[in-house]
Amino acid sequence: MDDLVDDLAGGAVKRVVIAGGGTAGWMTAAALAKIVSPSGVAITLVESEAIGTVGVGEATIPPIMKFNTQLGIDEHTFVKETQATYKLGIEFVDWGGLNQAYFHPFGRYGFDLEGIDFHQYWSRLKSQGETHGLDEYSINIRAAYAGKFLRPEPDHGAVIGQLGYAYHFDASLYAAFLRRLAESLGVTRIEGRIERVEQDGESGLISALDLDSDRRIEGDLFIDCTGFRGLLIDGTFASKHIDWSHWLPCNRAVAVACEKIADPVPYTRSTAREAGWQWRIPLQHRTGNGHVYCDEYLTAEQAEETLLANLDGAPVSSPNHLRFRTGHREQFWAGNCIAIGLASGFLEPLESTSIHLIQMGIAKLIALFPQSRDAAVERAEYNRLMRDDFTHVRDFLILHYKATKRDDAPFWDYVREMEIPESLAQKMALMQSRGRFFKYDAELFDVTSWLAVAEGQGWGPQGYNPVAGGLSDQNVCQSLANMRSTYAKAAAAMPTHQAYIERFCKAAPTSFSMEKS
Amino acid sequence: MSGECIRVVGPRLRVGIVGAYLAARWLEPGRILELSPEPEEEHGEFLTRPNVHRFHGEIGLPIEKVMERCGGAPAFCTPAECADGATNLPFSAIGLANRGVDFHQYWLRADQICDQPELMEFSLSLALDRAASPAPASRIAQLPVEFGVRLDRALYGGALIAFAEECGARTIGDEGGCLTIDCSDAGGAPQWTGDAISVGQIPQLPGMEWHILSSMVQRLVGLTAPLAASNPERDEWNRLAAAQSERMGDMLELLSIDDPLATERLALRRKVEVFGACGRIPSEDYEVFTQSEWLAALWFRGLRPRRYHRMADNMVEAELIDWMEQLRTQIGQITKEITGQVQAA
Ligand SMILES: Cc1cc2nc3c(=O)[nH]c(=O)nc-3n(C[C@H](O)[C@H](O)[C@H](O)COP(=O)(O)OP(=O)(O)OC[C@H]3O[C@@H](n4cnc5c(N)ncnc54)[C@H](O)[C@@H]3O)c2cc1C
Repeated sequence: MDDLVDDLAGGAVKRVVIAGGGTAGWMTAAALAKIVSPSGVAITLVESEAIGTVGVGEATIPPIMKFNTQLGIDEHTFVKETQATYKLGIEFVDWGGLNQAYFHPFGRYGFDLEGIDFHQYWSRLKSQGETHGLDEYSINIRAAYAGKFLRPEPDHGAVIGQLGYAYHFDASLYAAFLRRLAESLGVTRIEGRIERVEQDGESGLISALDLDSDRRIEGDLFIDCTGFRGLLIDGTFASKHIDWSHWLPCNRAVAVACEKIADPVPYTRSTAREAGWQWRIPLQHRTGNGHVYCDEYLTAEQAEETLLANLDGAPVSSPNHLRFRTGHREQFWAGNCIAIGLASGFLEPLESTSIHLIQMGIAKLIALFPQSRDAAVERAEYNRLMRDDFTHVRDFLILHYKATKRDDAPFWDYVREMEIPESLAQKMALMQSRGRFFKYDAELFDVTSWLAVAEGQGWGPQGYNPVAGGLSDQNVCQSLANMRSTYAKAAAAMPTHQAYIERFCKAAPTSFSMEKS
Repeated sequence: MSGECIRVVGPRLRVGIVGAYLAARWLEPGRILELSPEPEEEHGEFLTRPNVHRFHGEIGLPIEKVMERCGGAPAFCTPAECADGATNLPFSAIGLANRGVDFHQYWLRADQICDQPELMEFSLSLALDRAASPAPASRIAQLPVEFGVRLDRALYGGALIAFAEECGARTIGDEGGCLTIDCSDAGGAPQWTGDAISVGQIPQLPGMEWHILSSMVQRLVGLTAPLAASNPERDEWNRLAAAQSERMGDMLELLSIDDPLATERLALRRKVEVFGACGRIPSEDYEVFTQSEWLAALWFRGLRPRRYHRMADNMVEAELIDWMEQLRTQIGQITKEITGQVQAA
């Protein structure tokens, strides 16, 4: 009945128009085509090859697997076609202090004993002078540093079962892969530059996009995936930008790909630099690199110089300089327009969370998919949920800066001393006193992640929860020693990352020519 | 405040719940746990929620053993008195979610195609509750439902206090400088200030007394101990307790308010509005009630989504209607089998 009323009033959502064909646009198109189209919704995507995409965004986190599974993507095909490698976590170098490194693994630490968190027992032994680090209790870290990988299957047992992983992939190949998938699911792609956004006089809702080719694309619901431009959400709805740059001051990046000089390792490396940090993302055919920094402390030339001086191999592309603002739109969804991807906001790529936030946006849009063009309740709920997602990720990123002991450069002095959000201050205090961690329901990063970063940067638990005092010292020592040897043996028995790729998902070779700058 | 002494005072059963957990999970040589329960506890029904299994697992006193000793029966729902009469809020999902879509979305669509039995007829929890089968907990545990346990207050309280004593708690004495946990209805919100924790006002809704006391002591042990509790721990305890009270407050208001749409509680208003718009029930941090309890409460209060989710169109009509029928048949079979088995035995 309501459907009928909506139809008669011309308000029913039957046509979704996605503006932009980067990672966000094609992920959204593929997911909507798979899940929403069967109920009679047509999906159109408009993109301009002349404008191009941001060209970065190559590291992911484990929940991406759920997205791929929902789309029915075969993992090995996907890895092959995007020149992907496996990612077991991130190595952070020079973050807590110079010449220090730690690893943030995607799989948990240890096994709980008698229903009590493993790390409480580990803290207990540490307080008694035990020196075995957390790294020795993680299959992810053991495997990562040994260059090993194995996709966990149900019959691999509990230790390999703890292995969590994600991917590194070539961003342009990923967009192309999703494009093929989306088009096979019925998405219509239109090439053209959006020149004007038409709005309904009375309601202010978007009615059509006018392209340079004199084409006019009408729709009921518009998804703004136009990247940092935010052509619709900003240009049309002027959704305010909530600025978090006082907490996350990096605002520029320079990216460059280089030749790979060895077999790819199954992890991302993030190395702190004078006024920011540098990433290294190993792919099958090349290595992605970038330097994220704050322009108050470093010039673009200096940033590029530092980047080029710290590559594994010779550059195979010219440096791509990017500017960004940290924060998000106050309204992710305004009128009949939903911003997804960079158009909705951006948090620096320190923990590879942007593609995940795209995935979160898509999942929420599907859960709250509106029946009519003006869906005030769904819109409010979507905005609330996305705000929470951004806030939780924000706090975890700030932790990396706040929990530093570096005092060798003004940038680090600033972040070490800055005021932090109350929600983070509370979490840090609890973690530091006795390793307590309480996760909000919708929070992405769990105790493993918080512990890895806090401990890795010298902000770890100072004590342990005495509920872990029950077992005898001997019992705990023995159990933890068994765990260490179990992890070491399991990692040793795994195939190398390269061997795994060779066997199951080797991509076709490519050649590079240095682009003109 | 001494770092190593806790005193628990108040009604016998409540002191038993808190005391048993502390005795099993916190007490160790050098620490003192003093219980000062009121002498008598009246007989009467006490409802525990499904987390009772975990609670008893953690203290090493299996709930099945307690049931053997004190009697008790599985409980599948929260009985609630509302503005519109009495109802039951099932602990477990109503119907079955399918391909990521909640069951009630399919029900809404199916009901448009042809009249369907009431949505609550698709709840296995409610069917089992109606059947009142005396099947043992071990058999019920094999079914796809969550369940708590109904126990006699006096017997359960006695068993827990005896257990705490076995673990080393004392029921006499007046050690100075303890952290005191007052389990009596003190009114107001649960609060930890200085050396005193008050559980505050316990709502009348069955199951809440259990939930507040068990989660309060679990949080306490998870957060603090030794009790040289610093401000972050105390603040966190208070924050979590306040969040829990808010979530309970939302449900109590939904059940009692004349017009749920007129509520001024923000989180509840969101639930009512989003549910009305698209049938989704937004969850807040630290929810107390399950999604199915919320769904049943909203439904009972006469709230209905204006439309079903488009994804519920992902089944062809005939398949959908068939599936609905099958579900009902299966619920009937399970209930019959459980009741029949016990009668045969
Ligand atoms: C330095 C840096 C590093 C990053 N690293 C990571 C990482 O490791 N992991 C991660 O998860 N994320 C990372 N990200 C984020 C990630 O790159 C993005 O989230 C992802 O690429 C999605 O971008 P997008 O599709 O929103 O925007 P874009 O890629 O910019 O796509 C915008 C699209 O809109 C189109 N468009 C724009 N204007 C018009 C117009 N007028 N008419 C027609 N079409 C138009 C463009 O042609 C393009 O197709 C990083 C970002 C930066 C800046």
